[in-house]
Amino acid sequence: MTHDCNPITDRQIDIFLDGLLDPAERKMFEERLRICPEAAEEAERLSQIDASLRRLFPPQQVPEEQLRNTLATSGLATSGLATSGLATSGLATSGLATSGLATSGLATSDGAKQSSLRQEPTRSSIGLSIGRAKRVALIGLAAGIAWILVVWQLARDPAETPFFQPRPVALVYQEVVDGGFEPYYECREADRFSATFQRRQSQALSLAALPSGSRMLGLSYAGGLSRDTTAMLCQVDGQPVMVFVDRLENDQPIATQLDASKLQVHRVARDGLVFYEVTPFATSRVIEYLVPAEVDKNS
Amino acid sequence: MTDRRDEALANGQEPLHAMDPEVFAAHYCKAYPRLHLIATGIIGDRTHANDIVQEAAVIALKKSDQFNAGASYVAWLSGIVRNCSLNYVKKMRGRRTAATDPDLLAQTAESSATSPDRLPVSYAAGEPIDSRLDVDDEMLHALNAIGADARCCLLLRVVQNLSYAEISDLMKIPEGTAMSHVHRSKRQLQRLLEKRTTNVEVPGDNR
Repeated sequence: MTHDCNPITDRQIDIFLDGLLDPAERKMFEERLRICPEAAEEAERLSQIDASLRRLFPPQQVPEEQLRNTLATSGLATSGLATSGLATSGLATSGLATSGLATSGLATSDGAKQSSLRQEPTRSSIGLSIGRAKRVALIGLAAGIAWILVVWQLARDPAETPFFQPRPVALVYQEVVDGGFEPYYECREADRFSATFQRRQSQALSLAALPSGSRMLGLSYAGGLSRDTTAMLCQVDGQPVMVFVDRLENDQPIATQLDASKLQVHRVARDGLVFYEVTPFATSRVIEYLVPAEVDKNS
Repeated sequence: MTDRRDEALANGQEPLHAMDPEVFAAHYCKAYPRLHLIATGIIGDRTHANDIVQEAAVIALKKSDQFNAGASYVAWLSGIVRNCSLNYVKKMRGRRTAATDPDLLAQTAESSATSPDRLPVSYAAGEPIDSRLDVDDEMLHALNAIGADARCCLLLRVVQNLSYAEISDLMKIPEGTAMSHVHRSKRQLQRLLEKRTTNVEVPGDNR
Protein backbone atom coordinates (compact mmCIF):
# COMPACT_ATOMS: atom_id res chain seq x y z
CA MET A 1 0.00 0.00 0.00
CA THR A 2 1.27 3.48 -0.74
CA HIS A 3 -0.08 6.56 0.96
CA ASP A 4 -1.25 9.68 -0.84
CA CYS A 5 0.69 12.02 1.32
CA ASN A 6 4.38 11.95 0.60
CA PRO A 7 4.05 8.85 -0.31
CA ILE A 8 5.17 6.43 2.36
CA THR A 9 5.33 2.77 1.37
CA ASP A 10 4.65 -0.29 3.49
CA ARG A 11 8.27 -1.26 3.08
CA GLN A 12 9.43 2.07 4.51
CA ILE A 13 7.11 1.66 7.47
CA ASP A 14 8.38 -1.88 8.05
CA ILE A 15 11.99 -0.75 7.98
CA PHE A 16 11.24 2.17 10.28
CA LEU A 17 9.42 -0.03 12.80
CA ASP A 18 12.14 -2.65 12.55
CA GLY A 19 14.66 -0.15 13.83
CA LEU A 20 16.77 -0.42 10.69
CA LEU A 21 17.07 3.33 10.11
CA ASP A 22 19.98 5.29 11.50
CA PRO A 23 19.12 8.14 13.90
CA ALA A 24 19.09 10.85 11.24
CA GLU A 25 16.91 8.81 8.87
CA ARG A 26 14.64 7.91 11.73
CA LYS A 27 14.12 11.53 12.65
CA MET A 28 13.32 12.40 9.05
CA PHE A 29 10.88 9.55 8.80
CA GLU A 30 9.14 10.61 12.01
CA GLU A 31 8.72 14.06 10.47
CA ARG A 32 7.11 12.48 7.43
CA LEU A 33 4.77 10.45 9.60
CA ARG A 34 3.73 13.63 11.38
CA ILE A 35 2.32 15.05 8.17
CA CYS A 36 0.79 11.77 7.00
CA PRO A 37 -1.76 10.62 9.56
CA GLU A 38 -2.79 7.59 7.50
CA ALA A 39 0.74 6.18 7.49
CA ALA A 40 1.17 7.15 11.13
CA GLU A 41 -1.96 5.21 12.04
CA GLU A 42 -0.75 2.18 10.18
CA ALA A 43 2.64 2.39 11.87
CA GLU A 44 0.81 2.62 15.19
CA ARG A 45 -1.27 -0.47 14.42
CA LEU A 46 1.81 -2.44 13.43
CA SER A 47 3.67 -1.32 16.52
CA GLN A 48 0.75 -2.65 18.57
CA ILE A 49 1.51 -6.06 17.11
CA ASP A 50 5.04 -5.80 18.45
CA ALA A 51 3.76 -4.68 21.83
CA SER A 52 1.29 -7.54 21.95
CA LEU A 53 3.99 -10.08 21.06
CA ARG A 54 6.24 -8.74 23.81
CA ARG A 55 3.43 -9.02 26.33
CA LEU A 56 2.58 -12.53 25.20
CA PHE A 57 6.13 -13.84 25.17
CA PRO A 58 8.07 -12.37 28.07
CA PRO A 59 11.71 -13.52 28.18
CA GLN A 60 12.00 -16.96 29.75
CA GLN A 61 14.69 -18.06 32.16
CA VAL A 62 15.76 -21.64 32.66
CA PRO A 63 13.67 -23.07 35.48
CA GLU A 64 16.11 -23.98 38.24
CA GLU A 65 14.79 -27.50 38.57
CA GLN A 66 15.03 -28.06 34.85
CA LEU A 67 18.65 -26.98 34.85
CA ARG A 68 19.35 -29.27 37.81
CA ASN A 69 17.72 -32.20 36.03
CA THR A 70 19.55 -31.47 32.81
CA LEU A 71 22.86 -31.27 34.62
CA ALA A 72 22.09 -34.43 36.53
CA THR A 73 21.73 -36.12 33.18
CA SER A 74 24.93 -34.38 32.22
CA GLY A 75 26.65 -35.89 35.23
CA LEU A 76 25.64 -39.32 34.05
CA ALA A 77 26.69 -38.50 30.54
CA THR A 78 30.03 -37.16 31.74
CA SER A 79 30.84 -40.22 33.73
CA GLY A 80 29.69 -42.29 30.85
CA LEU A 81 31.45 -40.31 28.13
CA ALA A 82 33.52 -43.25 27.03
CA THR A 83 30.48 -45.44 27.37
CA SER A 84 28.52 -42.96 25.30
CA GLY A 85 31.13 -43.17 22.59
CA LEU A 86 31.03 -46.90 22.83
CA ALA A 87 27.30 -46.82 22.74
CA THR A 88 27.43 -44.81 19.55
CA SER A 89 29.80 -47.21 17.97
CA GLY A 90 27.66 -49.95 19.42
CA LEU A 91 24.72 -48.49 17.56
CA ALA A 92 26.78 -48.39 14.43
CA THR A 93 27.67 -51.98 15.00
CA SER A 94 24.03 -52.70 15.62
CA GLY A 95 23.24 -50.98 12.33
CA LEU A 96 25.78 -53.18 10.63
CA ALA A 97 24.34 -56.18 12.37
CA THR A 98 20.91 -55.21 11.16
CA SER A 99 22.09 -54.82 7.62
CA GLY A 100 23.90 -58.08 8.10
CA LEU A 101 20.61 -59.69 9.04
CA ALA A 102 19.00 -58.11 6.04
CA THR A 103 21.77 -59.47 3.88
CA SER A 104 21.26 -62.81 5.50
CA GLY A 105 17.58 -62.61 4.69
CA LEU A 106 18.41 -61.79 1.11
CA ALA A 107 20.89 -64.60 1.00
CA THR A 108 18.12 -66.95 2.06
CA SER A 109 15.71 -65.69 -0.53
CA ASP A 110 18.37 -65.74 -3.19
CA GLY A 111 19.67 -69.00 -1.88
CA ALA A 112 18.31 -71.01 -4.77
CA LYS A 113 20.42 -69.03 -7.19
CA GLN A 114 23.52 -68.62 -5.10
CA SER A 115 23.57 -71.58 -2.76
CA SER A 116 27.00 -72.55 -3.92
CA LEU A 117 28.37 -69.19 -2.88
CA ARG A 118 26.76 -69.05 0.52
CA GLN A 119 26.62 -71.05 3.68
CA GLU A 120 23.43 -72.74 4.69
CA PRO A 121 21.12 -70.21 6.31
CA THR A 122 21.19 -70.36 10.06
CA ARG A 123 18.17 -71.36 12.11
CA SER A 124 17.56 -67.75 13.10
CA SER A 125 17.78 -66.49 9.54
CA ILE A 126 15.30 -69.14 8.42
CA GLY A 127 12.95 -68.01 11.19
CA LEU A 128 13.50 -64.44 10.07
CA SER A 129 12.66 -65.12 6.45
CA ILE A 130 9.58 -67.16 7.41
CA GLY A 131 8.50 -64.31 9.65
CA ARG A 132 9.09 -61.90 6.83
CA ALA A 133 7.11 -64.02 4.41
CA LYS A 134 4.25 -64.04 6.90
CA ARG A 135 4.42 -60.30 7.24
CA VAL A 136 4.46 -59.84 3.47
CA ALA A 137 1.47 -62.18 3.16
CA LEU A 138 -0.40 -60.29 5.87
CA ILE A 139 0.37 -56.93 4.29
CA GLY A 140 -0.81 -58.29 0.94
CA LEU A 141 -4.00 -59.58 2.52
CA ALA A 142 -4.62 -56.26 4.29
CA ALA A 143 -4.01 -54.37 1.05
CA GLY A 144 -6.46 -56.67 -0.76
CA ILE A 145 -9.14 -56.12 1.88
CA ALA A 146 -8.53 -52.37 1.80
CA TRP A 147 -8.90 -52.40 -1.98
CA ILE A 148 -12.18 -54.33 -1.80
CA LEU A 149 -13.48 -51.89 0.81
CA VAL A 150 -12.52 -48.88 -1.31
CA VAL A 151 -14.21 -50.34 -4.39
CA TRP A 152 -17.25 -51.21 -2.32
CA GLN A 153 -17.42 -47.70 -0.88
CA LEU A 154 -17.12 -46.11 -4.31
CA ALA A 155 -19.83 -48.35 -5.72
CA ARG A 156 -22.28 -47.42 -2.97
CA ASP A 157 -25.18 -45.07 -3.50
CA PRO A 158 -24.03 -41.84 -1.83
CA ALA A 159 -27.53 -41.21 -0.50
CA GLU A 160 -27.60 -44.55 1.28
CA THR A 161 -27.58 -44.53 5.08
CA PRO A 162 -24.05 -45.28 6.30
CA PHE A 163 -23.67 -48.93 7.11
CA PHE A 164 -23.17 -49.84 10.70
CA GLN A 165 -22.55 -53.28 12.10
CA PRO A 166 -23.30 -53.69 15.81
CA ARG A 167 -20.50 -55.50 17.57
CA PRO A 168 -19.89 -57.06 20.97
CA VAL A 169 -18.78 -54.34 23.34
CA ALA A 170 -16.07 -56.65 24.68
CA LEU A 171 -14.57 -56.76 21.20
CA VAL A 172 -14.58 -52.98 20.95
CA TYR A 173 -13.02 -52.83 24.42
CA GLN A 174 -10.25 -55.20 23.33
CA GLU A 175 -9.50 -53.11 20.26
CA VAL A 176 -9.32 -49.93 22.32
CA VAL A 177 -7.05 -51.59 24.88
CA ASP A 178 -4.81 -52.96 22.10
CA GLY A 179 -4.68 -49.49 20.59
CA GLY A 180 -3.23 -48.03 23.77
CA PHE A 181 -6.47 -47.28 25.62
CA GLU A 182 -6.46 -43.66 24.54
CA PRO A 183 -9.75 -41.76 24.56
CA TYR A 184 -10.87 -39.95 21.46
CA TYR A 185 -11.86 -36.92 23.51
CA GLU A 186 -10.26 -35.92 26.80
CA CYS A 187 -13.40 -34.41 28.24
CA ARG A 188 -12.38 -32.49 31.35
CA GLU A 189 -15.27 -30.07 31.80
CA ALA A 190 -18.38 -31.36 33.50
CA ASP A 191 -20.66 -29.22 31.33
CA ARG A 192 -19.17 -30.51 28.11
CA PHE A 193 -19.28 -34.05 29.41
CA SER A 194 -23.01 -33.70 30.00
CA ALA A 195 -23.56 -31.95 26.70
CA THR A 196 -21.82 -34.76 24.82
CA PHE A 197 -24.31 -37.33 26.09
CA GLN A 198 -27.15 -34.91 25.51
CA ARG A 199 -26.08 -34.52 21.91
CA ARG A 200 -25.43 -38.18 21.21
CA GLN A 201 -27.96 -39.95 23.42
CA SER A 202 -30.51 -37.15 23.94
CA GLN A 203 -29.94 -37.50 27.67
CA ALA A 204 -27.39 -35.47 29.59
CA LEU A 205 -25.27 -37.45 31.99
CA SER A 206 -22.81 -36.35 34.58
CA LEU A 207 -20.14 -38.32 36.32
CA ALA A 208 -20.29 -38.27 40.09
CA ALA A 209 -17.03 -38.26 42.02
CA LEU A 210 -15.38 -41.61 41.48
CA PRO A 211 -13.94 -43.47 44.45
CA SER A 212 -10.23 -43.51 45.12
CA GLY A 213 -8.39 -45.66 42.60
CA SER A 214 -10.80 -44.86 39.79
CA ARG A 215 -10.51 -42.09 37.25
CA MET A 216 -12.11 -41.14 33.97
CA LEU A 217 -9.71 -40.82 31.03
CA GLY A 218 -12.09 -39.49 28.42
CA LEU A 219 -14.67 -40.44 25.83
CA SER A 220 -14.48 -42.43 22.63
CA TYR A 221 -16.91 -43.02 19.81
CA ALA A 222 -15.72 -46.46 18.84
CA GLY A 223 -19.14 -47.90 18.03
CA GLY A 224 -20.66 -50.96 19.63
CA LEU A 225 -24.46 -50.76 19.64
CA SER A 226 -24.88 -47.98 17.10
CA ARG A 227 -22.95 -45.21 15.42
CA ASP A 228 -23.92 -42.96 18.33
CA THR A 229 -22.68 -45.16 21.14
CA THR A 230 -20.58 -43.12 23.53
CA ALA A 231 -17.88 -44.97 25.41
CA MET A 232 -16.25 -43.70 28.57
CA LEU A 233 -12.73 -44.91 29.29
CA CYS A 234 -11.77 -45.33 32.91
CA GLN A 235 -8.91 -46.66 34.93
CA VAL A 236 -10.11 -48.65 37.92
CA ASP A 237 -7.44 -49.96 40.27
CA GLY A 238 -5.00 -49.78 37.41
CA GLN A 239 -7.24 -51.79 35.07
CA PRO A 240 -8.89 -50.47 31.91
CA VAL A 241 -12.67 -50.28 32.16
CA MET A 242 -15.07 -49.03 29.51
CA VAL A 243 -18.69 -48.00 29.85
CA PHE A 244 -20.74 -47.94 26.65
CA VAL A 245 -23.85 -45.77 26.68
CA ASP A 246 -26.60 -45.64 24.10
CA ARG A 247 -30.32 -45.12 23.76
CA LEU A 248 -32.28 -48.10 24.95
CA GLU A 249 -33.84 -48.56 21.51
CA ASN A 250 -30.35 -49.08 20.10
CA ASP A 251 -29.67 -52.01 22.42
CA GLN A 252 -28.46 -55.15 20.63
CA PRO A 253 -28.29 -58.75 21.87
CA ILE A 254 -24.88 -59.08 20.25
CA ALA A 255 -23.51 -56.46 22.67
CA THR A 256 -23.03 -58.95 25.48
CA GLN A 257 -21.41 -61.60 23.35
CA LEU A 258 -18.18 -62.70 24.97
CA ASP A 259 -15.38 -64.89 23.76
CA ALA A 260 -13.51 -67.06 26.16
CA SER A 261 -11.93 -64.07 27.79
CA LYS A 262 -11.64 -63.06 31.39
CA LEU A 263 -13.70 -59.97 30.77
CA GLN A 264 -17.08 -59.28 32.33
CA VAL A 265 -19.91 -57.35 30.69
CA HIS A 266 -22.41 -55.74 33.07
CA ARG A 267 -25.62 -54.29 31.69
CA VAL A 268 -27.91 -51.69 33.24
CA ALA A 269 -30.97 -50.08 31.61
CA ARG A 270 -32.41 -46.90 33.07
CA ASP A 271 -33.76 -43.48 32.08
CA GLY A 272 -34.22 -44.61 28.47
CA LEU A 273 -30.52 -45.50 28.22
CA VAL A 274 -28.59 -48.72 28.25
CA PHE A 275 -25.18 -48.97 29.88
CA TYR A 276 -22.63 -51.71 29.31
CA GLU A 277 -19.55 -51.88 31.48
CA VAL A 278 -16.73 -54.01 30.12
CA THR A 279 -14.32 -54.77 32.88
CA PRO A 280 -12.00 -57.39 34.29
CA PHE A 281 -13.86 -57.05 37.62
CA ALA A 282 -16.71 -59.29 38.74
CA THR A 283 -18.95 -56.33 39.58
CA SER A 284 -19.78 -53.06 37.91
CA ARG A 285 -17.61 -50.29 39.34
CA VAL A 286 -18.46 -47.25 37.22
CA ILE A 287 -22.00 -47.32 35.79
CA GLU A 288 -23.58 -46.20 39.05
CA TYR A 289 -21.60 -42.96 38.90
CA LEU A 290 -23.11 -41.96 35.56
CA VAL A 291 -26.21 -40.08 36.56
CA PRO A 292 -28.76 -37.92 34.74
CA ALA A 293 -27.81 -34.25 34.57
CA GLU A 294 -29.13 -30.91 33.50
CA VAL A 295 -27.22 -29.74 30.48
CA ASP A 296 -25.83 -26.22 30.28
CA LYS A 297 -27.18 -24.74 27.07
CA ASN A 298 -24.00 -22.70 26.58
CA SER A 299 -21.74 -25.74 26.52
CA MET B 1 36.15 -24.03 36.34
CA THR B 2 34.18 -20.85 36.86
CA ASP B 3 37.09 -18.86 35.48
CA ARG B 4 37.13 -20.98 32.36
CA ARG B 5 33.41 -20.50 31.96
CA ASP B 6 33.57 -16.75 32.47
CA GLU B 7 36.52 -16.47 30.14
CA ALA B 8 34.78 -18.50 27.45
CA LEU B 9 31.67 -16.41 27.73
CA ALA B 10 33.47 -13.10 27.92
CA ASN B 11 35.50 -13.90 24.83
CA GLY B 12 32.51 -15.28 23.02
CA GLN B 13 34.41 -18.52 22.66
CA GLU B 14 32.71 -21.83 22.42
CA PRO B 15 33.42 -24.42 25.08
CA LEU B 16 36.50 -26.47 24.55
CA HIS B 17 34.89 -29.28 26.45
CA ALA B 18 31.21 -29.15 25.78
CA MET B 19 30.64 -31.91 28.31
CA ASP B 20 31.82 -29.63 31.09
CA PRO B 21 28.52 -29.08 32.93
CA GLU B 22 29.42 -25.59 34.12
CA VAL B 23 30.42 -24.37 30.71
CA PHE B 24 27.34 -25.96 29.27
CA ALA B 25 25.10 -24.41 31.94
CA ALA B 26 26.48 -20.95 31.27
CA HIS B 27 25.86 -21.20 27.54
CA TYR B 28 22.52 -22.86 28.04
CA CYS B 29 21.23 -20.22 30.47
CA LYS B 30 22.36 -17.45 28.17
CA ALA B 31 20.76 -19.03 25.12
CA TYR B 32 17.63 -20.28 26.86
CA PRO B 33 15.29 -17.34 26.06
CA ARG B 34 15.92 -17.64 22.34
CA LEU B 35 15.87 -21.45 22.38
CA HIS B 36 12.51 -21.23 24.14
CA LEU B 37 11.21 -18.85 21.49
CA ILE B 38 12.38 -21.13 18.68
CA ALA B 39 10.54 -24.06 20.24
CA THR B 40 7.47 -21.89 20.82
CA GLY B 41 7.63 -20.62 17.25
CA ILE B 42 7.81 -24.07 15.72
CA ILE B 43 5.25 -25.86 17.86
CA GLY B 44 2.99 -22.81 18.19
CA ASP B 45 2.51 -23.49 21.88
CA ARG B 46 4.32 -21.99 24.86
CA THR B 47 3.35 -24.63 27.36
CA HIS B 48 5.44 -27.43 25.92
CA ALA B 49 8.40 -25.31 24.85
CA ASN B 50 10.17 -25.82 28.21
CA ASP B 51 10.06 -29.58 27.87
CA ILE B 52 11.32 -29.46 24.31
CA VAL B 53 14.25 -27.21 25.16
CA GLN B 54 15.15 -29.48 28.05
CA GLU B 55 14.98 -32.52 25.80
CA ALA B 56 17.25 -30.73 23.34
CA ALA B 57 19.70 -29.86 26.12
CA VAL B 58 19.94 -33.47 27.21
CA ILE B 59 20.54 -34.53 23.61
CA ALA B 60 23.15 -31.80 23.20
CA LEU B 61 25.01 -33.06 26.23
CA LYS B 62 24.91 -36.62 25.03
CA LYS B 63 26.05 -35.70 21.56
CA SER B 64 28.52 -33.03 22.51
CA ASP B 65 31.28 -35.05 20.89
CA GLN B 66 29.58 -34.25 17.58
CA PHE B 67 29.90 -30.51 18.10
CA ASN B 68 32.53 -28.95 15.83
CA ALA B 69 34.82 -26.72 17.86
CA GLY B 70 34.85 -23.25 16.35
CA ALA B 71 31.21 -23.36 15.32
CA SER B 72 28.53 -21.49 17.22
CA TYR B 73 27.45 -23.61 20.15
CA VAL B 74 24.15 -21.74 20.51
CA ALA B 75 23.41 -22.23 16.81
CA TRP B 76 24.18 -25.94 17.23
CA LEU B 77 21.87 -26.09 20.24
CA SER B 78 19.14 -24.25 18.37
CA GLY B 79 19.42 -26.79 15.55
CA ILE B 80 18.71 -29.53 18.08
CA VAL B 81 15.80 -27.52 19.49
CA ARG B 82 14.40 -27.14 15.97
CA ASN B 83 14.62 -30.87 15.35
CA CYS B 84 13.05 -31.74 18.70
CA SER B 85 10.26 -29.24 18.02
CA LEU B 86 9.60 -30.64 14.56
CA ASN B 87 9.51 -34.16 16.00
CA TYR B 88 7.01 -32.98 18.59
CA VAL B 89 4.81 -31.41 15.92
CA LYS B 90 4.95 -34.63 13.89
CA LYS B 91 4.10 -36.68 16.95
CA MET B 92 1.17 -34.46 17.87
CA ARG B 93 -0.20 -34.66 14.33
CA GLY B 94 -0.37 -38.43 14.70
CA ARG B 95 -1.95 -38.24 18.13
CA ARG B 96 -5.33 -39.85 18.30
CA THR B 97 -6.60 -38.14 21.41
CA ALA B 98 -8.20 -34.75 21.08
CA ALA B 99 -8.39 -32.24 23.90
CA THR B 100 -11.69 -30.98 22.55
CA ASP B 101 -14.49 -33.05 21.15
CA PRO B 102 -13.61 -33.18 17.45
CA ASP B 103 -17.28 -33.48 16.58
CA LEU B 104 -17.90 -30.14 18.22
CA LEU B 105 -14.99 -28.33 16.60
CA ALA B 106 -16.66 -28.01 13.23
CA GLN B 107 -19.84 -26.68 14.79
CA THR B 108 -17.89 -24.24 16.92
CA ALA B 109 -15.88 -23.01 13.96
CA GLU B 110 -19.04 -22.38 12.02
CA SER B 111 -20.80 -20.58 14.83
CA SER B 112 -17.79 -18.47 15.80
CA ALA B 113 -17.51 -17.17 12.25
CA THR B 114 -20.84 -15.45 12.64
CA SER B 115 -20.96 -14.86 16.36
CA PRO B 116 -19.99 -11.28 17.18
CA ASP B 117 -19.66 -12.12 20.87
CA ARG B 118 -16.63 -14.28 20.24
CA LEU B 119 -14.63 -11.61 18.42
CA PRO B 120 -13.83 -8.81 20.78
CA VAL B 121 -11.42 -6.52 18.97
CA SER B 122 -11.99 -3.83 16.44
CA TYR B 123 -8.40 -3.97 15.37
CA ALA B 124 -8.85 -1.67 12.41
CA ALA B 125 -9.51 1.08 14.90
CA GLY B 126 -6.88 -0.25 17.27
CA GLU B 127 -9.38 -0.29 20.10
CA PRO B 128 -10.92 -3.15 21.97
CA ILE B 129 -14.65 -3.18 21.40
CA ASP B 130 -15.28 -5.34 24.39
CA SER B 131 -13.44 -5.07 27.66
CA ARG B 132 -13.80 -8.78 28.42
CA LEU B 133 -10.99 -9.82 26.15
CA ASP B 134 -8.02 -8.07 24.64
CA VAL B 135 -5.95 -8.03 21.52
CA ASP B 136 -3.49 -10.58 22.88
CA ASP B 137 -6.05 -13.37 22.68
CA GLU B 138 -6.68 -12.53 19.06
CA MET B 139 -2.96 -12.36 18.45
CA LEU B 140 -2.45 -15.90 19.71
CA HIS B 141 -5.08 -17.16 17.29
CA ALA B 142 -3.59 -15.19 14.43
CA LEU B 143 -0.07 -16.44 15.19
CA ASN B 144 -1.22 -19.99 14.57
CA ALA B 145 -2.06 -19.05 11.00
CA ILE B 146 1.47 -18.08 9.99
CA GLY B 147 4.27 -20.48 9.13
CA ALA B 148 6.57 -21.92 11.76
CA ASP B 149 9.77 -20.37 10.36
CA ALA B 150 8.10 -17.00 9.98
CA ARG B 151 6.78 -17.22 13.54
CA CYS B 152 10.25 -18.04 14.87
CA CYS B 153 11.87 -15.16 13.00
CA LEU B 154 9.17 -12.75 14.13
CA LEU B 155 9.49 -13.75 17.78
CA LEU B 156 13.28 -13.70 17.74
CA ARG B 157 13.27 -10.25 16.16
CA VAL B 158 10.48 -8.60 18.11
CA VAL B 159 10.73 -10.29 21.49
CA GLN B 160 14.45 -11.01 21.69
CA ASN B 161 15.47 -8.05 19.55
CA LEU B 162 18.03 -10.19 17.72
CA SER B 163 19.77 -8.86 14.63
CA TYR B 164 18.98 -10.51 11.34
CA ALA B 165 22.52 -11.91 11.29
CA GLU B 166 21.84 -13.65 14.61
CA ILE B 167 18.47 -14.95 13.43
CA SER B 168 20.10 -16.20 10.25
CA ASP B 169 22.69 -18.04 12.32
CA LEU B 170 20.11 -19.65 14.61
CA MET B 171 17.58 -20.54 11.94
CA LYS B 172 20.07 -21.47 9.23
CA ILE B 173 18.41 -19.22 6.71
CA PRO B 174 19.73 -16.17 4.81
CA GLU B 175 19.39 -12.80 6.53
CA GLY B 176 17.17 -11.48 3.74
CA THR B 177 14.82 -14.40 4.20
CA ALA B 178 14.67 -13.77 7.93
CA MET B 179 13.82 -10.13 7.30
CA SER B 180 11.13 -11.05 4.76
CA HIS B 181 9.66 -13.50 7.24
CA VAL B 182 9.45 -10.81 9.90
CA HIS B 183 7.94 -8.11 7.70
CA ARG B 184 5.56 -10.40 5.87
CA SER B 185 4.36 -12.17 8.98
CA LYS B 186 3.65 -8.86 10.67
CA ARG B 187 1.57 -7.76 7.69
CA GLN B 188 -0.14 -11.13 7.67
CA LEU B 189 -0.98 -10.78 11.34
CA GLN B 190 -2.37 -7.34 10.67
CA ARG B 191 -4.58 -8.67 7.87
CA LEU B 192 -5.75 -11.61 9.97
CA LEU B 193 -6.66 -9.37 12.85
CA GLU B 194 -8.50 -6.97 10.55
CA LYS B 195 -10.30 -9.85 8.88
CA ARG B 196 -11.56 -11.10 12.19
CA THR B 197 -12.73 -7.57 12.94
CA THR B 198 -14.59 -7.43 9.64
CA ASN B 199 -16.43 -10.56 10.69
CA VAL B 200 -17.36 -8.90 13.96
CA GLU B 201 -18.85 -5.81 12.44
CA VAL B 202 -21.88 -7.57 11.05
CA PRO B 203 -24.75 -5.56 9.59
CA GLY B 204 -27.20 -4.55 12.26
CA ASP B 205 -24.61 -4.56 14.99
CA ASN B 206 -25.02 -1.22 16.73
CA ARG B 207 -22.19 -1.44 19.18
